Amino acid sequence: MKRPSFITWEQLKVGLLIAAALAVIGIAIYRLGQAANLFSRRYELLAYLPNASGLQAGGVVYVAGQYAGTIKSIDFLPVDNDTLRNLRVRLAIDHALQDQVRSDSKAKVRTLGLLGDKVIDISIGTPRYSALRDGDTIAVAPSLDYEAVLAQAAGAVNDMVDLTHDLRQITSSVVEGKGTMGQLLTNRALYDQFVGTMSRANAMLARVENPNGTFARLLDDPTLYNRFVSVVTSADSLVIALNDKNGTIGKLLRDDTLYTHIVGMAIAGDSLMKTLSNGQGFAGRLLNDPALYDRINKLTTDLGAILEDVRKDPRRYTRGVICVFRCK
Amino acid sequence: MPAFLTRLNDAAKSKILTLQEYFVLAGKALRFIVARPFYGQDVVQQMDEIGVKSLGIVLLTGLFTGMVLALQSSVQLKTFGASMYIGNLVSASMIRELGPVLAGLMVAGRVGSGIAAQLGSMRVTEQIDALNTLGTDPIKKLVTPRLLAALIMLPVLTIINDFVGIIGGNIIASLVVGLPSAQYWRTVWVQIASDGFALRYIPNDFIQGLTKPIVFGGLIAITACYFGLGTTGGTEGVGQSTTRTVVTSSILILIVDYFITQLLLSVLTYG
Amino acid sequence: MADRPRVSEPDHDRRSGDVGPAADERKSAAVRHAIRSELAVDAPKDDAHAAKRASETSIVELQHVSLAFDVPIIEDISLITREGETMAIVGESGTGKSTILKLVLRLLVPDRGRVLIEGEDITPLSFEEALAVRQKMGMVFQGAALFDSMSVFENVAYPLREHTDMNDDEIEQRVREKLQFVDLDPDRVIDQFPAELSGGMRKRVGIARGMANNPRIMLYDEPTSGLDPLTTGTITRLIMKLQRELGVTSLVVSHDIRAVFRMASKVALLHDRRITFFGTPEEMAGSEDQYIQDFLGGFTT
Ligand SMILES: Nc1ncnc2c1ncn2[C@@H]1O[C@H](COP(=O)(O)OP(=O)(O)OP(=O)(O)O)[C@@H](O)[C@H]1O
Ligand SMILES: [Mg+2]
Repeated sequence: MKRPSFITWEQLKVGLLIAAALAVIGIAIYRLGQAANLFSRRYELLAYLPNASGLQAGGVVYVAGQYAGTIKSIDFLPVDNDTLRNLRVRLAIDHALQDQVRSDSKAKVRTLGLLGDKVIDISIGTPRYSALRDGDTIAVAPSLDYEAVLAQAAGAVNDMVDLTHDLRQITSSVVEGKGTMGQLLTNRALYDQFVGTMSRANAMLARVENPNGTFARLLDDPTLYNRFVSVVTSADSLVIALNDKNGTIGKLLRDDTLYTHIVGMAIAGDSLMKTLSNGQGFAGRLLNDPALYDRINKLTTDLGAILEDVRKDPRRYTRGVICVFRCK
Repeated sequence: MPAFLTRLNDAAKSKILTLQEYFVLAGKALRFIVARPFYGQDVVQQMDEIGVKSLGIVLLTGLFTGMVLALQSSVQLKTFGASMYIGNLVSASMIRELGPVLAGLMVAGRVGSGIAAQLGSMRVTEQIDALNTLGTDPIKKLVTPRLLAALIMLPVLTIINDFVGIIGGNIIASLVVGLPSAQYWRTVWVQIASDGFALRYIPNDFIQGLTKPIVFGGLIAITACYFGLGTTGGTEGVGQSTTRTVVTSSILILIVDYFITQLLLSVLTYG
Repeated sequence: MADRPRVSEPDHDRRSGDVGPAADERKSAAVRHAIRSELAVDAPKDDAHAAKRASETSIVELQHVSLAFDVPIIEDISLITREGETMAIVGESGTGKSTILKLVLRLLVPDRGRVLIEGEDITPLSFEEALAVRQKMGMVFQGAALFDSMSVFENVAYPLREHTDMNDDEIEQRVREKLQFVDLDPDRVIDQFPAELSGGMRKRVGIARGMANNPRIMLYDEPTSGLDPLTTGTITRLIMKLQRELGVTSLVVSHDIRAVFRMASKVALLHDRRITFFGTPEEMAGSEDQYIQDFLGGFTT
């Protein structure tokens, strides 16, 4: 077939149409090249992941959220005990970004975009660390397990809901003046009292804090405590002894002979009272004679002194003399 | 054998024969692309017929498809507060699906019917026999140029369809949503880029968007030629062949589209 | 598929056949007389000429050929055409005359029997080999079958472009020559398209195309049907001229008994799926067979 020596309009139209399509493709490739750094040199980094979480070869790699390259391949590693390195992901990254990605950069699987595309996002390194080179391995930051986060969040949210519910009830009753808290907030008198109490308590506390005061001593001095302990101990043994029916007090509590004696005594006391009110005899005079009173008064005072002494050292008087408790 | 079984048997045989003839025709037509003589003038003429003369309808369908896509997606995306993603949606749907399929359907309607009618009337007026008699293989002379022209022009039309569609989306995005053109186009490129690349440089979307029209072009040309050359029964037969061509090739386009998509989605790795 | 094209005759072809029992009855006595006189004048001259030229080599030969589409069309047909002969095939409409030509062209393959072209059996040939064999033959189709997407020039030039290394000037020269040969004015028709031509012009362009490559064998399928008597005469003379001047072997299918008797050296009558008569026009005219007499329109009785 010979080539026609002239060009027909038809041929030209066809050619123009094809040229237009090629031009569109050309523009698209150029713009894509800008958008995706199509024509830049790339270098390769490796990342080891426990789980690709939906990443795919051909997928996108970002550096600091900017398009930087693609995932070249994702391969399974042989099974071993290291469950954090199940997959090896080869990343092809724009050479121009090599300086940004350093040995402290971290690769992270992220979900992006409208359709939830999975991408690898690499954080930018710091100058203290060296830039990663072709074939180096980049550290992987654990990505949040989305589902786990969701599950936890659900529990927390439920708790929060309950809490706010309770809180609302409380605050509403408080505001309405119900209950102590409500009164506290709404009742002026209570407040005043409280303030008064507080100031008094303050004063009291000041006195308590006075190092020479009893309270302070009480607070500071361990001897009192020790003594208290021993008192409690002896009180304890006292109670036991009281319960012993052979002891005097035991008898006192259980034997009614003493009661009859006392009744008899009360009758006798009754007749005695008649005699006394007459001013006769010693007792009558005791009641009516002021001199006797003075003497008895003095006697009582002395007796008080003795009793004081007894209190200080009971044993001086009681040892072997009074056998109230468990005399054996 | 019962009569109905015989009929079933005959029907099955004729269906398989049809299929076989279809593939034999396709195989021969493809083989002749590289065999001499090469009917260059016929190819160019068919390219004009298929490509240039279909440009008008393709421009119109592309533009309005892109516009309606943008309109629909703007409503949908607004509810998510994602109106700035109109570009992504329009470009992905146009390039991957609607561009190829709509261009295919348009060409099936316009060109497929034309081819079937032309070859059909050539058949009934013995022009096919005349070709044979004059020592020309009608497949080489008639089918191969149409096939080659369709294989070339359908991708061309699809590219233009896609482009015009995305422009239509741009118009609607800026008119209705107020999305700045620069923003729209940025999302278009980002979408294509984020769908990944095969062999580093070839966008997956382009592979999908161009494989389909090539296949559709072949489908339309072979179907039209098959029915056209197989025409019997005079002028009425020509009409039947024309109708069958349009129906069959349109259905085939939609069915084959599904399988190509599935195949490419598993072969290409989408980001 | 194109290997075995199933050709259906367009209806109008059958209707336009100008010879049938009805048409025959309408034929005037003058025409019948003319036929008789032509038989007397032309036939012996052609016969002598053919006898001088004809060698014993068979150019087109059918041996026990049978073909069925849905029903049997032809059964056990044998025919032989020797070099330089013009053989006419006559018969009723729809008996399979065109089918025989298509068998000769290997556009159809016989169910049984063999077809030989210049002694070579073309039945087992592959499609590509058949293409080569067909180049020995020029075919004029019943409806001309011009390529209507091409101009007259391109139609006639088609076989030259396809199969020769002729340059554009040579091709144009040859096209003009052939158009002149069929009595067409090259300057007038060369840029016209088939749709713009009359039926007779189309037929003549078809003949020009068929013989553009100077084939040794010409096949004509009803070259004169639907044409006025003058054009019919022109075309008949043309076929004879070709045979006489170039020694072309011809197969002519025709209903036009008058034209057949003018140009044929042998006539084959196809009737009821078989060849019921095969001989010279004189033998046919003198046949006692009632069907043949009916077919000839009774003018010989
Ligand atoms: N492709 C085909 N498929 C089925 N039947 C066919 C086919 N071609 C021809 N026939 C049938 O074969 C028979 C012979 O057809 P053919 O064209 O040879 O007739 P013909 O003798 O040329 O008739 P005419 O004089 O009208 O041209 C017809 O009955 C026709 O219906
Ligand atoms: Mg016929």
